[in-house]
Amino acid sequence: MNYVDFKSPTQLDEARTLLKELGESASPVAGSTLHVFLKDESPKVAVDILRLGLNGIRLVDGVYHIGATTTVTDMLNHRQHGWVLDRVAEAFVTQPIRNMATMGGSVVRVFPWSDLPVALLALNAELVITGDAERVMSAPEFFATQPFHHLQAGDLLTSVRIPALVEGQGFAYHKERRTTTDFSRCTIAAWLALDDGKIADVRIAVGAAVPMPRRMDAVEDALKGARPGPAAFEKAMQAGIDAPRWKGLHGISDEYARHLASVHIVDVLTKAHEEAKGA
Amino acid sequence: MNMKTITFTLNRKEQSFDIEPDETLIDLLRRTGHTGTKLGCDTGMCGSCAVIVDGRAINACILFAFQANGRTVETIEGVGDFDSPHPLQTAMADAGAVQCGFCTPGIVMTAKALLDEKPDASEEDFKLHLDGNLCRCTGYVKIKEALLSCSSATGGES
Amino acid sequence: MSKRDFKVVNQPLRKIDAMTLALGKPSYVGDFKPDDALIIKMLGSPHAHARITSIDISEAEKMPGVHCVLYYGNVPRIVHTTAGQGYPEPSPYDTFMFDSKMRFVGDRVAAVAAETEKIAEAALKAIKVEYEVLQPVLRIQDAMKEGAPIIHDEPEARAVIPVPYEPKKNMAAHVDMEIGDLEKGMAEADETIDFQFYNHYGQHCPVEPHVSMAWVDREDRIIITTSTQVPFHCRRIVAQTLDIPVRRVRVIKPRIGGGFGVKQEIVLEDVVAMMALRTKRPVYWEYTRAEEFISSRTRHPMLMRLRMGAKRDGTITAIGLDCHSNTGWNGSQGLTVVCNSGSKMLPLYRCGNIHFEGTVVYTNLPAGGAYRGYGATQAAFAFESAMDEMAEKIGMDPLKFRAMNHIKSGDTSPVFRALGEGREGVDQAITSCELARCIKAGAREIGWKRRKPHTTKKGRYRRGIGMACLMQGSAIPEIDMGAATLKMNEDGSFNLLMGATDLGTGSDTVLAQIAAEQLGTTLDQIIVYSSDTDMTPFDVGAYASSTTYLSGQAVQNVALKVRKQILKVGADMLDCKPAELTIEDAKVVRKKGEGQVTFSEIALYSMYSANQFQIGDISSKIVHHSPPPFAAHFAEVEVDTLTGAVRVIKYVAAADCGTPIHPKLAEGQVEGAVMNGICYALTEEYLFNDKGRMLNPNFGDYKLYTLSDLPEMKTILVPSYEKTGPYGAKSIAEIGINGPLPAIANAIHNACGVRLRTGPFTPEKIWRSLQAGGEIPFEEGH
Ligand SMILES: Cc1cc2nc3c(=O)[nH]c(=O)nc-3n(C[C@H](O)[C@H](O)[C@H](O)COP(=O)(O)OP(=O)(O)OC[C@H]3O[C@@H](n4cnc5c(N)ncnc54)[C@H](O)[C@@H]3O)c2cc1C
Ligand code: FES
Ligand code: FES
Repeated sequence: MNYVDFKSPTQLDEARTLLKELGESASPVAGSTLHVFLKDESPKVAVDILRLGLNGIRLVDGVYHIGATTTVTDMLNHRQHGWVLDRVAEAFVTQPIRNMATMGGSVVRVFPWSDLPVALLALNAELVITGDAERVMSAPEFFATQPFHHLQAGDLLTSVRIPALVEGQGFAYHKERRTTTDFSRCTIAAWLALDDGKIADVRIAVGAAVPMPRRMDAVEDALKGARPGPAAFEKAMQAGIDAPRWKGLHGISDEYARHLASVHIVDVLTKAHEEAKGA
Repeated sequence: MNMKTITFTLNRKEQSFDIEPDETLIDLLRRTGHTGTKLGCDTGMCGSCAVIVDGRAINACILFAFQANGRTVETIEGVGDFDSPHPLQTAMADAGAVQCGFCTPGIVMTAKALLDEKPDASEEDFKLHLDGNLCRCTGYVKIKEALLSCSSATGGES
Repeated sequence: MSKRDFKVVNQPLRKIDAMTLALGKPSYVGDFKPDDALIIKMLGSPHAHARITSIDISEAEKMPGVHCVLYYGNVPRIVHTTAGQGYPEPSPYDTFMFDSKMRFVGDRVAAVAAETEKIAEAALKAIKVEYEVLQPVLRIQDAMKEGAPIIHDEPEARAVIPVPYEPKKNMAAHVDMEIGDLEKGMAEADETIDFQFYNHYGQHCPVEPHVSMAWVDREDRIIITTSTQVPFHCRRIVAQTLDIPVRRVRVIKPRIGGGFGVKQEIVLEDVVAMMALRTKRPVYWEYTRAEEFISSRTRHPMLMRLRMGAKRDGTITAIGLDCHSNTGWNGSQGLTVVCNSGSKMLPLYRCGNIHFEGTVVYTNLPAGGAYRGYGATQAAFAFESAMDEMAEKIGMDPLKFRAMNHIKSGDTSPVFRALGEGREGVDQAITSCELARCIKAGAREIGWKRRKPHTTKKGRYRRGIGMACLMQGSAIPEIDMGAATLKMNEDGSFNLLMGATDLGTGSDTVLAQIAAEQLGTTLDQIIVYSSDTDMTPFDVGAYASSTTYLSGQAVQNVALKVRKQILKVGADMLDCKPAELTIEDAKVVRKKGEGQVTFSEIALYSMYSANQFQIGDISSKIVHHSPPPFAAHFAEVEVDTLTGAVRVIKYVAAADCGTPIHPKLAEGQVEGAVMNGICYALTEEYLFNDKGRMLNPNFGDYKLYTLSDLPEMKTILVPSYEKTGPYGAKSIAEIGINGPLPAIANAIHNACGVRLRTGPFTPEKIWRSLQAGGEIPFEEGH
């Protein structure tokens, strides 16, 4: 990064004004881990957004509000009813990076290995952007393209909202990796709600093995109203597995990437179902 | 060059530094004589540059120096010395967990951050917290032994 | 085996530099970087095979802050090898400081020395280069094809020892050997096998990448401080490449952040020295992690054909091993690595008909070099996989099959004489071998009795147990030399000055223990200095598992000489004969009766009182044997048969290294080597595109285990007493890395019936093999 100056505002408005005035020549900096992958040579003013008080996890009316500068470690350490992001945070590379990387930085620019976007899709998250006015975007909207395209100069992602899990619901997350700190080859998240022994609602999202994280609509459709179980999961998986264009990363073939997805879709559905059942 | 001054607490002493806006914390530390923090990859993937900022281990090769402004930074130089080594340093040396030693300061700092927060850290805690530290020499067996011996859960002190 | 009552050797002592390093005291090259050092950066070739048709450095030279730009047009063209080996080197002379021909992606185009890293990088961008792109050679098989592009077409390329060398055919070396008659042995067999194996690229990944700095002192000498395993070879080769006398070069090795063989090579020092000479400023060059992967050295990938014949009673009638080694863009260590593929594995089992052939080829890929295991790793994979397959064919338990055939104490093998390091080897009989006990102890620890055939296993997750037997050597007999100087100080302490190179292994501690034991003093009384070509005597350096065995004997010898001097002065002081005296706890005492003087009193007396002289001496050692350490490794794995993912549950390494001089460090050598081997077997892999560019030169994509991936690991040291070694010791540093590839391959087979012949054992390969009913068609990998 070619930072020619830095600013350390302590108020959100102050930060936004700075960013707006400087426009293209400024960039918000949260955990700053992105620069490992993205070497931007153009001269920029770094605007440190870690001192704006945007961090913290609050439960409001059954919905978790996660401040944009909440670190992955904070998400990992948080323990409260219906909180599930610790399962995702645990898979997020290494301790020092979990200590630095933030919710905001991890979702405004999506990489194949990005963990949080996949989980947020399955959890029906809402993303709050503070610009001149506040905007709320649904996860599918937000991740339909590289999310930073939604942000104008001076806009900041300020929080992410996810409904807390309640009884009868389950969530599971799987990241296929060779070692605990590996980049993902295939990421799958599933959320599932039971009603009267049937699947009332379900959301499955995949990442890493597809160009952008996405929901698996056809699999979801095949499951809604169905009786959960190995046969139903397998059948639903078959119904939707070929919707995305699977892409093998880091030396694996496209075919194997598809195969991994097919195995783990069934696996995470099974796990989410167990949780929903209260097992 | 756009030198700017920042101030932070380094090893319990408030200090001011003239920095360039784009220099990383490790560059600042090493050029000011804190060479115990090592550079093994410069991409956040080996942990040899780990230092503690506001109680948590981070990769000093990633963090920009300006981000340390106003914070509390601990490096290996502040942790112990020959006459008063940190228990982790003694344990690492005694367990045979220091071969080439290049990874050792990073491991000590990362483990210290954990033990400061959780003196009774379990094997699982160490595995999770040390997952960002590569050691090519030891195969981790003796490192694990050394770390565990410092947890109050096994009667160690830190 | 004989047990001895040691006081310092074989004791649980703290490694002498452990606390210094744990405290983070300045120790490594980078910690001593002068404030005013110029920073060196290298422009790498974007093409795997090309010729520079024009290069313009004028813009870069003019940039403020740039002090020097080096390229082929302004440095001497002196052919040499980068391999840090004995002279004349068994590696071909095929490398120049800079050349107009590019032989791999990353090859040296031009180097810049500038005030800051930023300026140096900007200057690299200002260098204008045009290339004539040539067809690259990216596979072993392609290198040997008729009409293949010639990688080393320069007239200077030559071998400096009498060995086959045909660069026009991309052949960097060739060796063959036959004992008995392979074909006859195959004909006599009840069962035969004939398989191909491929072991892949891998890198040492020392956590400290290569780093060197240099300056010119007031006497116009070049002082190089560098992360090297071979300070003396480094001095010689730098002098050669700069065309200056050896006396103008001084090489200092401080603490090293890991080497594993990769620092047995002159990778940075020639350029650093030249830059210092040209700029008269301190200069500093540190590889990035990406450069470490691409431009330093790697394990030689090998394509191997293994043939074996055996009778149903378990007698091995024939062994044929044919290795094609990829040495990459230069021939560094090519011949000797492939020789070791034969010499370090073939003697392991008794057999009368053995054929071995090694061919080393150039390709436009990263260069192979010395890497822990040194050819034995490659051969062990093929050999020990085949032992399991043969055992299955003749219907014998793989343990029993190995136990009845392996070499034993008192045995010799014709291979020892037939295959040396680029020349004939040295006859030797095995004087210590506890392999049988290693096998027993390891089998018990892993629970070998639980092992069931894979055909009985069901379910998604299946477990399996596999094993492998191994041997290595201890130093290169009749070739390598180590020396040590020892002198006494007023307080009864000693300076031990050695050329031997501690690269993190703890050899400084081990050698100091040997000195202390021999002198009759304690470890803290030995002040070790290693290594500095101005200050310490010669040593070949840290390679070939030699330091404890070879340099250890040099130390033992010099300590013995000094001990005699001490006794003599003591006799003077106590007015008796040396024979009446002995040494106890740093004191000379009469064997019978009263009277003693301390080491300190002796030192003071010899320095200041009468017949003054410096108590001290120097000794050198070459060895006539290379006693092999032995090991039996066992792995238990679990395979997810749906995805092919494999997890190591438990790994047991039982090793015979003679007397472990420092048991914890010996265990550490095994554990580190085994962990490295496990990662190599399962996750480490070079990915190249079709133009020869490495795609994953970072620790994010090239995966090593961390503590969080550590399986249950158990090291069992099975002591023997090697009578030719110092206090019964032989080597331990390399052998451990050879086990995981075959032991895990055999365990995977035992779990799910899949036989893997190409590393690494990725989930996709296992999944495909399961789909194919156990095995996929063999393919040369990368
Ligand atoms: C070695 C390594 C491995 C990694 N592996 C993984 C992995 O396996 N899985 C995974 O999910 N992640 C992984 N990451 C992290 C990921 O790639 C990103 O680097 C990280 O999530 C970014 O978070 P940050 O807080 O550091 O953001 P920063 O680097 O500070 O910022 C990233 C980008 O987002 C912008 N930005 C940040 N916050 C806001 C905001 N609130 N509003 C608007 N814009 C904002 C910044 O301007 C910048 O463009 C890895 C990182 C490293 C270094
Ligand atoms: S140097 Fe910072 S993680 Fe490797
Ligand atoms: S001791 Fe060498 S890398 Fe850990």
